[in-house]
Amino acid sequence: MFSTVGKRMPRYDGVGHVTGRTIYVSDVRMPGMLVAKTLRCPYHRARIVSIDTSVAKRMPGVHAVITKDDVPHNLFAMVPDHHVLAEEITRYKGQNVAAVAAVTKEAALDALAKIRVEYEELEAVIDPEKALLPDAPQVRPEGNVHLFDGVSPVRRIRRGDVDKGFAEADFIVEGRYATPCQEHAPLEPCSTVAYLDESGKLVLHSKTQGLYFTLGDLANVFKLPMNKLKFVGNTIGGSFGSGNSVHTDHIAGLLALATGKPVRFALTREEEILFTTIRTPWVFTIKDGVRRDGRITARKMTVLHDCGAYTELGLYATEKNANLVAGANRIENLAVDSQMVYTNKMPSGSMRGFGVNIGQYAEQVHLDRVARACGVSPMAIRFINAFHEGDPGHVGNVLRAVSTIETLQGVAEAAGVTLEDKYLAMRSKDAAVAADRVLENAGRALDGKEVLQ
Amino acid sequence: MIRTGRGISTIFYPSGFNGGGDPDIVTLRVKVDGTIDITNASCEMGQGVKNVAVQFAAERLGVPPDRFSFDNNNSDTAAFSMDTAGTRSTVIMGNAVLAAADDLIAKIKAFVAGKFGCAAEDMDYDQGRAFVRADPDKGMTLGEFGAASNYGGVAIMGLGGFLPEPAPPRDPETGATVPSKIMAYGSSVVDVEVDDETGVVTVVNMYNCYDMGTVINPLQAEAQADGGNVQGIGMALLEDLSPSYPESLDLYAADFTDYIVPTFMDAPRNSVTTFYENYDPTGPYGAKGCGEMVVDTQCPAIVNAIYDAVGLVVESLPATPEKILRLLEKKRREKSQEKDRVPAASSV
Repeated sequence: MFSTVGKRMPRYDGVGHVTGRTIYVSDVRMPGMLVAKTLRCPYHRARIVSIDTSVAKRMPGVHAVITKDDVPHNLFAMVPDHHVLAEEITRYKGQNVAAVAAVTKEAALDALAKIRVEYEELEAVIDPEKALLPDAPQVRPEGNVHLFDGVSPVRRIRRGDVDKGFAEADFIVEGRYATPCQEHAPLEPCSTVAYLDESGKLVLHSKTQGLYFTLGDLANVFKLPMNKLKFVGNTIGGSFGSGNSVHTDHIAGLLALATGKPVRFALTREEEILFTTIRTPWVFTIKDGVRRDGRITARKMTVLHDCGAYTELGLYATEKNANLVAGANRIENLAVDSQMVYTNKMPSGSMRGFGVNIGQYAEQVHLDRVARACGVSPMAIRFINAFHEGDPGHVGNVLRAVSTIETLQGVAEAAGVTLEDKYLAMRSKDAAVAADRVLENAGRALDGKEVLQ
Repeated sequence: MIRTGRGISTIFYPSGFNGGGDPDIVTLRVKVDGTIDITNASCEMGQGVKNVAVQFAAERLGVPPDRFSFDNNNSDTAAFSMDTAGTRSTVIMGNAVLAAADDLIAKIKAFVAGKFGCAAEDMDYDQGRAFVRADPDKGMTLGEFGAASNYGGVAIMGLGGFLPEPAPPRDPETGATVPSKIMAYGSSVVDVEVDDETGVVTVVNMYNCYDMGTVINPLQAEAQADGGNVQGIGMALLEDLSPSYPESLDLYAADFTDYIVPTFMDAPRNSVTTFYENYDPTGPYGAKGCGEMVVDTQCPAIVNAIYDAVGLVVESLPATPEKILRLLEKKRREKSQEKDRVPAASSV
């Protein structure tokens, strides 16, 4: 029996939060602190012909104006292919082109207005399906389609024999599902206060949710050893994954290094919504073969992840999605083809449910379609296809502590759903059920097929 | 008119980074009065990771939770954490806390054993006190140990780490690998009302049953699920940065007037979250992850409930009133042309 674990212990920092005593990153101010603002590209895709910062640098109250040439190493992010300040070709609207540190917000904004950038607007691609076409504008020099393992445009998940599975089906059920651009919307917008301490160490009060994650990333950008770089923060006003991407730390740090003064770079809510990473859109197609008794015999899925302009966390999301997108069902015969494509929009950040819950929407809505096709209830279809203890997952790992059946029973009880006795009696660890399934699956007769939707 | 519908969903969700290989490290330092600093750089963003660390440490060391402080404040003093993401902290930081506590207990035993001229193997530790097994009166409390070690110039820290085994490279043909080994499971039933004149969907009841293994702090787990309910409603019904996508990004929200996030007014009228505690053998005290799993079941259950109410499959998120009305209109037109081939939904 536990003494502390399992207890309803009140929040460690709850009183501070609800009384306004907690000092968030957004509350931090330093003496002599400068204000940072950035100039952002107004086009979805453009070529920067020239940048002239000479006038801006001479404006009153301006301490520094920086562009890509002032960044020691101009690449960052989990997959470090994102430019801190834009190189020749910009890839999304709102990409940072130049940054200013000045004594006031007004002085900083005035200086931004005096930076002269000559752009040549280029054709952009927004629709991921269009980005796949051979004549699409190329978001990246390497091409729009990510190559898995450096060679394959498709991440393949294969189990069993889908053709055989479809041949055993009584019905074929097809569907297509799409998800939109979504904003994390944390209460506290992203901000950084950066300064050099008495030893010359660069200190960043940061809204990151990965202190060391960002430390490692930005040590490269600043080209600083980790004893000359310190991140402070880690009690923040919500994040939901937005804080796995750097939005202000790099630029605030560069401006503090350039000026020797404390610099605060705080995004407005508008900037937070318009210009930070998002839950990027996905498109799923699902084709299921199902028997009259509700058993899925084959599942074929395609996944298209619109990763945006840079990889950021998009590749991680695609790989995680591929492992899990077939859902908490035992699928003997499975084929998943996942693609990740670059387009001219905000890059893919991580967002709570990252890479997974968008697929669960598609899969679980499709499963109800499958249930309707074979005339079993939505509850029954989930019991019939549920994972059992020791089932292989979709990429071959053996599942343990499986609870699909038990959570279905639990939620049915909570919601007052009357379950048939056979579903009430089911257990994830019931070996007989697993054995029956093997017998049931053996040598099923072929039957006429009906394509629904 | 208001039509009611019920929807269901069931999901699973891994704990820790996809593919593992994401370590955490924890240090435990005993102060002169026997209170203990836990250091680890996990981020507190509202999920309650500080409580989780304290509860694990208090449980393992057998002392009250008010003995501890949690220092995650900065990268100079807080021990390494890979990230605070991927539903990983409870499992990975948690295991590191337990390892650090075990290390501290072993070191305290050795220290106290030295004071009484015996071997560490002759010592027991129970509820904040190390003592000679054969003579339990000979021992030291954490407070006595803290003073004796610090003022004695003896550096003692509990150190622990945990690394989820990194996955092997994928088979390029089958995709086979071993991603996160700890899986949480969850199911939801949702009741909605759909106004077929305005297209507005209202979530009435939301029932969740989650297996996150041992629930470390039910108060926080329920709160995470409450947040998941609200965020799930946003995903299902409201949130879309760019309604003109994929044709263009011309309509793009810039504030909370155009980007609608749920408020308390959108929360379910009635919600119930229950737990089925199916212990994971490698989770700390059997715990699995919680954070993201509780924002997965709501959206598909809501969309399925909309079908149950009005017979529409919403094939793109979110299910805005405009989208519902357009789909209802399309359905009416098709119905007048031919009989719907899709059999009616059985109710859950």
